[in-house]
Amino acid sequence: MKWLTEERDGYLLGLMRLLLGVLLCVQVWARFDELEYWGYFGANFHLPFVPEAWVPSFATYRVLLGLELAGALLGVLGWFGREGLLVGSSIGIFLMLCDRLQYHNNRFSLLLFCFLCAFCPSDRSFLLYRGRSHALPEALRLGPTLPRRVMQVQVSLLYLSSGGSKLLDPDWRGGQTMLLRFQQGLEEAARAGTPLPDWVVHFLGTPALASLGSKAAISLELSLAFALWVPTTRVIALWAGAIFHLLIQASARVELFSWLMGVAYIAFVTPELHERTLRVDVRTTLGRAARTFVRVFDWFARFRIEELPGSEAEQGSVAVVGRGGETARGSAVPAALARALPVAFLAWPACALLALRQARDRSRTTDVGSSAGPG
Amino acid sequence: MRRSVLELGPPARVVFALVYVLVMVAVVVSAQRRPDHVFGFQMFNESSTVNIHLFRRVRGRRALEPLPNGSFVDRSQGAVRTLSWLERVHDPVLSKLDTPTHAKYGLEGQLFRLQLALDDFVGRLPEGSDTLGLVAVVETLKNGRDPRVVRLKAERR
Repeated sequence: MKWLTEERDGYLLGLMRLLLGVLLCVQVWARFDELEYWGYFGANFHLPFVPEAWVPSFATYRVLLGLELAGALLGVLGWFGREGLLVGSSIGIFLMLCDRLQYHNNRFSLLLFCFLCAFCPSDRSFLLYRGRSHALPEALRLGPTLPRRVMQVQVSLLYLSSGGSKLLDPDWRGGQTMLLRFQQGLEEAARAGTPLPDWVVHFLGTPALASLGSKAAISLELSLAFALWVPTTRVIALWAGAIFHLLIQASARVELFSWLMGVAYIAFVTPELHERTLRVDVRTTLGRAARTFVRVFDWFARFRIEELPGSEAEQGSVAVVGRGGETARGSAVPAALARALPVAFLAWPACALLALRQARDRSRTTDVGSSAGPG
Repeated sequence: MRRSVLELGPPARVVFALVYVLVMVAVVVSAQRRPDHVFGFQMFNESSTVNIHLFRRVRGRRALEPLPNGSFVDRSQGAVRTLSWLERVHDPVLSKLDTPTHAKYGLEGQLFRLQLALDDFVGRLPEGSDTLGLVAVVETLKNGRDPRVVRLKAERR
């Protein structure tokens, strides 16, 4: 029952508010574009969930879109940012209820995350109107974590619903739906003037590949719904999810969905800051480079940066001390950094495997050296 | 520090969380019962296609009259005017006529929407129109299989 009362650092929720505000701005802007291209939906065939009398007039619709955009901008700036997101998302959901033809899963998901973020303590950091001192002191950033947990539940619900509906559909399970998706992708590539090599066309047209891909996608979606919650599987789940969404972004038109899920994943990042330490020997180029790299790319404020003690300098110019006090040196440093820096996160498994392999090689050399010594 | 009006107290937070989760579960589960599964997060649910051909039933003629490009000349009470499906229906799927089109949100969903679009269009025909109704002949392909032809119609009342 700790969930109900616990309070944790709201720094990352501020970042979420800002990013969701940006995504909502982009989405509303797209709706203004659609207004230009398709015209006002209420003047054409539309399917409201709400009574027809509630559907706004053209003038009111434009005002509502303007208010939604203003709310999103407040979310970005952080000045009444939570209230802005609440107003923006509520208007967005209402307009979606005015015409089901305008429903898109990705748009609905974005509106829900904006709505939830409004109830999170996301007004304690990334307050852009405050300039460089955008974050409140740590003690003031503490806030209830229950709304963040609801956001996590929303992520799981999304994966459960998407994966579950595919699992129940024999055409999805068997790979037929995905096979046709591949074919549509190939046709679109050819139409766009970028035909793929024959072997790729042949490979993507293999039913066995589509079947395997379908089962993998369903398994991944269902497992993400749970694995993101378990501390031991979370990091690998986040990595697999990021790859999954990048593949979707590359192969289908999903508007902002991949970006949205990237932002939603922040809800699963440990809220506490600076729990890891980067120790650098600033006398070396490598040490200075590592310090600059982390300063620039540590968007989640994972690291505290310290000078490497002189006694440790001979063990390398960079070391990373993890949350549990374990120290990574040498080839283990890239993995320790990549795990915590979003910009390098996709490379984390490769770095970790490389570090593991080098550690194994080293221990083998040590074993051989000791057994070959004088008896 | 300014306290946001959205900062809920502990009991209200719990109520909010419970209500939100229950409502979302209800929305997702009930999406299964909606033909187009809207609000159900069912991504890429089908790879089906529809090919919509529109016809109209004209007073005094037995044969259906096709609607090239979705438009036709209507005669009502001496007035002659051109009516167009595409001027009324802007949905990217329903406005594609005589072309196989991906049935976004599923075959059942698009047929459901098409029926409502036909009803809407016919309901707006001018008084005394010689058009008695619209018929949509839809060639469907569910996930690349099971080709079927579905006839939907809307009659003027």
